[in-house]
Amino acid sequence: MKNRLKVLRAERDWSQADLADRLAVSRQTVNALETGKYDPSLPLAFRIARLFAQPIEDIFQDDAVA
Amino acid sequence: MTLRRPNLLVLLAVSLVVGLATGAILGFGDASGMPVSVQTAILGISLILAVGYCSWAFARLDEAAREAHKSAWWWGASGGMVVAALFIPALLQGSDLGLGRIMGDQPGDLVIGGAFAVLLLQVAGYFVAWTAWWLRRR
Repeated sequence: MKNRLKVLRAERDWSQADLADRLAVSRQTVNALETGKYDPSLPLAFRIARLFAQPIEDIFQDDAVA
Repeated sequence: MTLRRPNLLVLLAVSLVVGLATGAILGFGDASGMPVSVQTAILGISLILAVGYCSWAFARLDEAAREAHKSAWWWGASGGMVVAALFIPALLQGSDLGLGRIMGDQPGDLVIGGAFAVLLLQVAGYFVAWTAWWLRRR
């Protein structure tokens, strides 16, 4: 699954560690999310959406649709 | 609610200390004639501590770390069991390389030794699978 996490993080000038702290996950998890190699659970996806104040579908794009 | 993540080194150090202390107490206790009931109680307490601490640590892991552990247990430990199923019977047959030379050749020795060998292979498979899970997601 593709996502815009890295772009959204860069826009706010946050490091991966900063984002990890805000989401209460590890930096390794943020890296796995950004590279699209780990798909978040729905609760984590909602936390991400709330943090960036954007709908989930604006942050994550289903490969099958794209 | 934000949970404080456990330090992996602390987790390993505590597990190592509890395991070594229990092993030493039981080893010396056996030699000094400590009653089996006391040895069993000590082993039980250390296992409760280990399980309690692992539960505490697991509850504080984030979801990806939990997924890594679950995947490692399924693939790594199951793989370890398969390896054990393939090789332990073969090792039991050989005379020079047989497990009986290491563990003793009484039926009870072989049962305990075989179970421990399976556990070791499961743990080895677990670490391989856990490492592979994170390497694939770098």
